[in-house]
Amino acid sequence: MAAKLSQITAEARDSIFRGMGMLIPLSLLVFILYPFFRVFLSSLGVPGPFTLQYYSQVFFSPKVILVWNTLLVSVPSSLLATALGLLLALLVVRSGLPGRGFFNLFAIFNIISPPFVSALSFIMLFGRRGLITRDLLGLDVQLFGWESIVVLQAFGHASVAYLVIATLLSRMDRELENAARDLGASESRVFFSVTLPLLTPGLTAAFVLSFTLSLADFGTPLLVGGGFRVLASEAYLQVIGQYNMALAAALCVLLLLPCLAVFRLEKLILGERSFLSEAPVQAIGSRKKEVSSRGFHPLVTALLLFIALLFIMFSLSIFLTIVTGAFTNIWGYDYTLSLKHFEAIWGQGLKSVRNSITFALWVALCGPMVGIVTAYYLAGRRGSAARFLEFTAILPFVIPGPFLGISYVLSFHRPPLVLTGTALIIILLCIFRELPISFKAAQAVLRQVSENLAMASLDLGANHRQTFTRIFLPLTAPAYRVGMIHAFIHVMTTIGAIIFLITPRYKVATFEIFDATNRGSLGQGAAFALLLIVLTVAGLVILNLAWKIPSFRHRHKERLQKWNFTWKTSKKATTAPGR
Amino acid sequence: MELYLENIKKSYNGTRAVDGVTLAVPSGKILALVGPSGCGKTTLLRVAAGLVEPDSGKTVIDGRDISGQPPYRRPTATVFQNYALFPHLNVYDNVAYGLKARRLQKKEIGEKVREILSLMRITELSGRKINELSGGQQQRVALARSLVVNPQVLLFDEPLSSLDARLRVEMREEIKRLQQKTGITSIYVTHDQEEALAIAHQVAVMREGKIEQVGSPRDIYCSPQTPFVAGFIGWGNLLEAQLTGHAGKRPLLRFWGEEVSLPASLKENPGDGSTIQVFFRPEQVLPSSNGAWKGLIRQVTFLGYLVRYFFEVEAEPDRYHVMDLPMEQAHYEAGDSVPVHVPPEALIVYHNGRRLL
Amino acid sequence: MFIKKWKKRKNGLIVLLLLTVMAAVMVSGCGGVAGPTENGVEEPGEETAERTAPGKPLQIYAAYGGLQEIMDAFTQDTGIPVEFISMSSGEVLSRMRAEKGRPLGDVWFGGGVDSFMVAAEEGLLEAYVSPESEYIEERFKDPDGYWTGVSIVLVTFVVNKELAEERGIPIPETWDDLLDERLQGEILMPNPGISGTAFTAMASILQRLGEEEGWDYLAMLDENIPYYAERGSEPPNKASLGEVMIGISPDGVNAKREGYPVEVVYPSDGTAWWHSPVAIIAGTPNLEAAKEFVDWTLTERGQEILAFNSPRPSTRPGAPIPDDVPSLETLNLVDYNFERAARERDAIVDKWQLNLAK
Repeated sequence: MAAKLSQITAEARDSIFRGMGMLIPLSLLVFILYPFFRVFLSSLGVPGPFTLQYYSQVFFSPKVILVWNTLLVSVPSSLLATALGLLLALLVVRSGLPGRGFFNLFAIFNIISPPFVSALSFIMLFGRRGLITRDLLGLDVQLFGWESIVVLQAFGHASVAYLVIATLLSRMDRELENAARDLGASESRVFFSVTLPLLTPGLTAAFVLSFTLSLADFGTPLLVGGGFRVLASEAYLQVIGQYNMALAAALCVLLLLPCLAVFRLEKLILGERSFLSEAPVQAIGSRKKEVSSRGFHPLVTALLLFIALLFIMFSLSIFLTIVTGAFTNIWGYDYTLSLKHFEAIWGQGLKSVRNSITFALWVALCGPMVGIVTAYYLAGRRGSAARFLEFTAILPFVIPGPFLGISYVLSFHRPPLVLTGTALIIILLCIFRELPISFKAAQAVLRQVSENLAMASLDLGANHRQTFTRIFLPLTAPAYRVGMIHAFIHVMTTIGAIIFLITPRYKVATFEIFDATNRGSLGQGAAFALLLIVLTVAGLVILNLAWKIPSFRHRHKERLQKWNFTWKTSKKATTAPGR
Repeated sequence: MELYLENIKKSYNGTRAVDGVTLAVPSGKILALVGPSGCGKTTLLRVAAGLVEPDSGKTVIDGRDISGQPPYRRPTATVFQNYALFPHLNVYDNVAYGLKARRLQKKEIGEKVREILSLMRITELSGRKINELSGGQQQRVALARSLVVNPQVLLFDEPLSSLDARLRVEMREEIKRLQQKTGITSIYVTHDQEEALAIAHQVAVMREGKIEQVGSPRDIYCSPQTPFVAGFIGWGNLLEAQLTGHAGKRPLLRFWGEEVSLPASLKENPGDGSTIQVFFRPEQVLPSSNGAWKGLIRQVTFLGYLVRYFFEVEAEPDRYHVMDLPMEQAHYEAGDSVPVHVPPEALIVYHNGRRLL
Repeated sequence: MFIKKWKKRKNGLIVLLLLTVMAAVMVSGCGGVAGPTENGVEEPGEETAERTAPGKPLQIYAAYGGLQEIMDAFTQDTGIPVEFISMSSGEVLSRMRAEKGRPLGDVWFGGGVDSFMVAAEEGLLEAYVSPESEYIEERFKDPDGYWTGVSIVLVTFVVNKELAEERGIPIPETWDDLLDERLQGEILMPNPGISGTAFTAMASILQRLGEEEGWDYLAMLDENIPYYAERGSEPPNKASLGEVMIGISPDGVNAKREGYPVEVVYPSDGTAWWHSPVAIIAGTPNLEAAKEFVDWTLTERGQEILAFNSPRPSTRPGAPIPDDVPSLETLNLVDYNFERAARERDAIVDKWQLNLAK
């Protein structure tokens, strides 16, 4: 009797679990697609009569130059960033030089350094009174214009590109290169005919990423553009200066078009090429230690080292200027040591920092779950509805931050879903903005794990809920980790996406940096930035440590090892002759 | 085109993968390099290909020392495990890759590729993408890609390991056919001893970075020089035995609870009473009414041309031994009691890993 | 068999149920969305009632300096907790429009008076005549009580002294001095389409010199301006850091207080100005506290705190001001017509855009 009852409750729980699956498409529709369409409607004059005037305001006025300006900056900067990322990845992954972890630190630092900061350091170092240009080189130059934006963005986004490409490169099946060498191809031929084509997915992903980042970046153009305007900065100014939401929406839509275009491009280029998953799993173990001992040509190594050095200097100079600015009397003018900036931000400023951390933790802990559940929900589903949902889930990947922010304001201020003014809306926005990362990661895990695993679990008598919690969840742990870390970093450093959503109560640290630089208190901005960097690093360390807490992960690891073990022994048993 | 490897050594992070191997492959022959995983056979192959630089040692092809030369200058071609076909190129371009690297004329490339595709019987696959091919087809493309560059030495790195059993046997014969036709000196790395015996003129058994024994398949099978080789190649019974004494020059052995007199003296005498090992093949165990041991059949495996019996001996229950009988003599069932005989001439004797008889 | 069938049916039922719920949410969602946004305002009663939160800190949208110190003093004096966010006037206006009917802020503190005028006209502000406002000069407050000026913003030249010395250029005292050809590329001014400062400066020049002469002047000034900045904060920042010699901005005193080597010049041939008001946002659930805040800013003590923490002249005569802030009497303020400027705003910006924008 009791057994029967427990079976019934288990079944009921399973049904509830499966029912909850409906929440996935629902939330994707509500929190991604609906805001998306609100922006379109808004740009077409809704509410109110349908109109194209906002678009014509852009295209049939001097504003049309904004479109060209945007491309003029974004295309070269993302190409440069991708190239830089590729070179750095080659150096770090392939040259066999020591210090890879050290280098990764710089790349990660570059990513976690808050917005505006690099532009401010740039001014401090290369401005007319810059430490390098004036005090070191004795030049009197004004380095403001689109070239400066391109250079700053290229270096800033190179670390993202580097991480993407390096991951792919280190996972690449080196046997293919060996095969090419073996067939008589010289090192350069191997690189251009095998390595580079195989890296295409990474290169395009890196390009798309830095392209969307560049499109969404309004801080750098404002700070070093010297009056050079792009769509993102204009949309921002339209909101803050002209009180013109509709025009801002139209600009956002224009901003989105190239994003969607590159997104489409990525799909086109990648097509059905799924080289990644083709790398045979069983050979990895033996191959890893047999890293080809042949390095690059010394000249190539020298060139790569030079570029890496530039990159490290770039990161280092940003960091040093932040530290200098935070601890000296007057930014860029009086370098006597002082703690006054920290004193100044100690009050309400700390509240903003606390807000940042709270949001980041919420998103880091809950966000990846959404991605993983979405991947689980879509796994094995075919048909156009599933494809559409998948597209929706990755869409935030290419939506520029300000677009998302504006779309949430437009969507969730009035019933049925009133969220503005709450912390929830900020957290939700960030969760859905980060969704593609954990979703993609979980999907990748899923593809590697054969469908048989889920079937085996169901076959052994586990229901869907148990299959999810006992098989799928432990397996997607790495995806959770990836999503968690990305989410934490992004939420700590984001500004564009949430600047339109924060209220007096929910100010965040990045906003304080922005505000401080706006007021001209660059020292305070630097102090905030430093605080933010330190806390981000601390947060990452803690999250990583938490990850290493044995309980969850260890069990999972052990389980895997056991499988592996039994598999191996059974194999041995069949091949080893009688003894 | 003899391939000669001299005293090759290679360590990874302090672990010896290859520990002073010297090996010669006669011109036009296939040598199979066989051993358990991690024994260093693949590393040795890669040293020959130039993909791994050895810590010391020489690689000589046709009298020419090519040590230190990069892989693309060597007259070798490798067929990789899992094939390592370029996923971004189609079949034609994969096969043409090596020719393009050698900067041949376009027309010449076309001719050679077509020729080799037809030799491999895959002409119709020319325009296909790699991921549209079956395992066997990929294998043929990989072979074609290596053959088309007309190498002096072919290196096979477990080429059949990801095929299913039947296809493996088929492809193994195909490789043999091609090798005979082209006469290219080859090394064939595998962990499958059956495959090694089937394909090669010469078999080298490797263990922990060293070569245990080199010889013809028949040599290796019939006359394993170490207990490792005996255990690794084919099926067999490796037992502990006591050297109980000598009857004249003939040593007396005791195993399975009975005493046996060996037909010849041992190379050296480990001393009476010491423990040694005896080895014999399953087909050398015979049912015989005057057999010295009482066997109890525990399990029967029907293999077609012969039947494999797992039996235990009364004196030593719970340990299974193997006996192969041709089908016409195989009329026992599990549970039957059978007296068995092992002719003393069939016994091979080891002591401390060395063969004494 | 039977159980299996039932199971299937049960799952089907649950899915159906969820679909219905979802559809209901979607339908009501769409309806709700189309409804209120079409006519703009909803019934404020329902809305505000459900989110009234007594004891919730006063929410302040501010375009003002020295906020932390000012708010601390207010809380100390009245015991009312405050949370503030600093935004430009334009952003406040955008937000108030977006939040119309369900405001998230209670008070708007500081900014350009023109934005307050627009907001009052659009019904975004709550009329309130503070008992303290009788001490404020007539010209600095709204006759209907929608807003009351708390301080005077002055458009000044922020001049980098070191750079001026290096170049051997005397510090300019008047607008005419800015036409010196040695100042080419040395003057930074914001885009008047974005910055209230720049617009007021230009409109003042046009009102002072007249249409024709005014535009001629602006065209000549344009020769010395490398580009028009996108944010009001850029000119004083760049002048402080020595990127340019002169920035046109109301925030020079702040830069000076930070310690930068700048001189703040109040042009003697006509200093442009506007008053920075305080107002209550219409529909605030926190009306009493908001009124208290307005009252406080207008008291002598409040005015003193404001003036010392954000160095500007007060609108309340007799309130103490710090040494680095000039008293209004010593300045040559432009006789500025705000209504006319508001009327001509679009025309001026368009003409500037057409002829002078870079």
